[in-house]
Amino acid sequence: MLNITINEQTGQIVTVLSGDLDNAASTQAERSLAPVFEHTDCDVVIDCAELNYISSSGLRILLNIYKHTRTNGHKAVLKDMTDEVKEVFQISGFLQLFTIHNS
Amino acid sequence: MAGKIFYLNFATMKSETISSFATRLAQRIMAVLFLSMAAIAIVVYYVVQNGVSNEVEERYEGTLLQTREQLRDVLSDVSVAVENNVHDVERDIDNPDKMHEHVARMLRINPYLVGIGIMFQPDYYPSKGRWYEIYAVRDTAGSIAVKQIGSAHHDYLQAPWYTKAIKEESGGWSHPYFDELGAKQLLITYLSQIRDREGRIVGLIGADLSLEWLRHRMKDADERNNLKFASSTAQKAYSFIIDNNSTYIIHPDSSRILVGNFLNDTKTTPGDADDRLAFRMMAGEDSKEMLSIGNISSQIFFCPLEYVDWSMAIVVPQAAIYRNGRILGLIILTIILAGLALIYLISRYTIRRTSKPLTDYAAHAASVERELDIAQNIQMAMLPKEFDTQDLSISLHAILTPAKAVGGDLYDYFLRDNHLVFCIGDVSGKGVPAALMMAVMRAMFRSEARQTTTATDIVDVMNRNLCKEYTGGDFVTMFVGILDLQTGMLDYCNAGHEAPLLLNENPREKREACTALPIKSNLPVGALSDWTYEGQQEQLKPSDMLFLYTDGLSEANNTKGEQLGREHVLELASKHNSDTVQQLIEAMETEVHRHAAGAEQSDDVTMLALRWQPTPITSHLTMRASMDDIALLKPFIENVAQEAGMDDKEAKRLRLAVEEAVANVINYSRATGITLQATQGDDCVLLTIDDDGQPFDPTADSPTDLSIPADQRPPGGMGILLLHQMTDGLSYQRRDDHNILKIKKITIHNA
Repeated sequence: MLNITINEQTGQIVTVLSGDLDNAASTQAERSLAPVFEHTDCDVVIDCAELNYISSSGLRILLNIYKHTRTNGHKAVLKDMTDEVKEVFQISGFLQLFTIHNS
Repeated sequence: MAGKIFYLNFATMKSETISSFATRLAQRIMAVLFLSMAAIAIVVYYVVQNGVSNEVEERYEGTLLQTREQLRDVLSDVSVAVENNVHDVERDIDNPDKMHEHVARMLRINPYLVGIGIMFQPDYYPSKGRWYEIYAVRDTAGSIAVKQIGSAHHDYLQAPWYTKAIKEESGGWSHPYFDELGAKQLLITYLSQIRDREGRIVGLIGADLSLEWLRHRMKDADERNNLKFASSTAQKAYSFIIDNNSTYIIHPDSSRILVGNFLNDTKTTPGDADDRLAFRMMAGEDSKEMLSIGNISSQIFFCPLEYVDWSMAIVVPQAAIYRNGRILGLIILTIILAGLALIYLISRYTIRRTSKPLTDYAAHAASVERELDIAQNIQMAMLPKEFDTQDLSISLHAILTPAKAVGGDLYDYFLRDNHLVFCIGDVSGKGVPAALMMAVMRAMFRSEARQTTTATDIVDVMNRNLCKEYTGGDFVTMFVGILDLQTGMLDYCNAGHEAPLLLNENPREKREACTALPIKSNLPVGALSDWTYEGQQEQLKPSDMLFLYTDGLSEANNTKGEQLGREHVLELASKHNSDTVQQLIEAMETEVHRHAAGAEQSDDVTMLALRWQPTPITSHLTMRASMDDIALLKPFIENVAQEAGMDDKEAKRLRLAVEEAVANVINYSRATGITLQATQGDDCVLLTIDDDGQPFDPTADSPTDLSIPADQRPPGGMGILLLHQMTDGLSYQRRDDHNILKIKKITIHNA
């Protein structure tokens, strides 16, 4: 199961992902994250502290967020990834695209 | 060098070795040549030196004899001339004025004489007074003057020589003396008595002989000889004459003439060898003697001189005697050495040139060797890699050790439709021809075994193809087996090969620990085209092991020529019936090495061991190929991971791998259904994903190129990349229009 919350703050959007971002959840995730793409003037912070699992379909969604922020000259930040999730980012080469932040 | 044999190993000889071999050969030839030439040179040197020195000695002896002869002749001429004239003078004894004519005539016909006189006893001719001496003398212009020189002033009557000679019985030679009046010449005088008609002695006739000619003659001879033999030596040869009192008569140092004394000289030097020489000379001996005078070794030739009782000697320094011999010897030595150097250069060049084909051959052999190395690599690359099966029901290990660089043994195996197809074979012959044959057989096996369902058919087709295509007469013993991995049924065909061994892990079930697999007697492949091969079947029990080998193992020789033996192989195998396939083969290798004990491996050794150990399927999942069903994966994998005792992290990795594989099937293969099977192994989990979609081999796709930035890569490759990265083994098969992907995940990482 995947829960997504989006908090719009000044200068950035914080997206909290919790649960499994797998194939089963990807369609729902794409829908839930649509509001992020409406903002063009701020960084996007993806809070991964509660993200348990990610598959390639999940990576694809996050890649789209990255491309969106880059087009607008902003950053996409991955925050507090677990080791397992981080490994997937690393293997796929995605780790270099995102700004990594650990609190 | 004698007796040394060169073993030329062309295969390992490099060109540098050859050229140094050429140099070494040339040097050895030179050493022998040099030694023999040196011996020859030494002999030649001494022969030449002795010959030449003998010649030099003879030359000096000749000089000595010639001088002696000439002196003898001169003295004899003078004395004969005087004696002959005595009668003429005595005939005219009454006519004192006739004496002038006599002396003038005698002097004229005798060129050696410087003067001749006739002198009479006191008052013999009363008219002439007390002194009457008629003397003829040759002046410097050569004309002859005669006058009476006897007077009170020149009182010959008082001279000792006169008083002595007047009493003698016959004429004789005086002691040498210097002519006080004339040219200060060294003179000797021959005196003879004049008698009157009554026979009384009335006067003397005296002929003065100059010895200047003798002095010059000896000096000239010395100079000539020195020029010839002692031109470069410090010491020169010289000659001298002594009288019977050892007084010098002739000496190169003219101040010593009539003054110096040889015996006195020899007495002043240390040692008495020279003293004895002086006495021998004085005694009139004719000989030669080697003497060391001062520090100079000299050969002294000496002989007596007749009429005058003198002795003549020539002193020749040894250096002068040997000088010419040494020079000649050195010239010969130089020529020999120069010849040797020339021979060395020529022989080295010739050996280099003639050994050039050898050099080329060695280079060629080296390149053949390199090619054989490459061929061996190619041949080894033809063999299947270490068995990395995703099927837990089989473990397999095989080795091939060629006797030569390339060999004629082969083995092969692969999985097909849940069957293991395998073979072992041995091409008759060895080396490159056998290796080529092996490559052909292996290719033939691969192509036939992929499409033929029974072992007998595989062998049959191979036999017919080989007989048709190849008439070389070589054949191949082969064992071909097809093992059903589900049922353990082994279908096999043995074409003249060693019977494989069947090892049973549990002998208590009334089965031997090791037995030879029953085999029908079939001809080897390639022997006869219309031979009908008979196949056989054997039901394996779980954990049964098959051991296949070529006769290189059973017939491995030791240095005594004893074979390892089939029985010994069987016996050894039965002791390792519960070992792993690797352990069994290692034990066999150890044993064959122990048995051979250093003997050269004569035949290729090939071994293949396989164990069938079917494992039960622990769980499975059937789903539609739709994203709607993909949520079923999570609980299924979590369950499998839990049963395997995997930790959360590994479980997530397995889940990711399976999910990516299944998502690929759903997204791209247009499959309708997917079946997942999980099998638990001892140390791993094996997941089989079976779908009815279009052929798609995720193991064939090269993982995504990581050098391309992640946001620029084409979509779809990511899942396969993750699939590869998250698993410990992948295999793919297309069977009955299904894609069968097997994923292996090792479970003991954290153990």
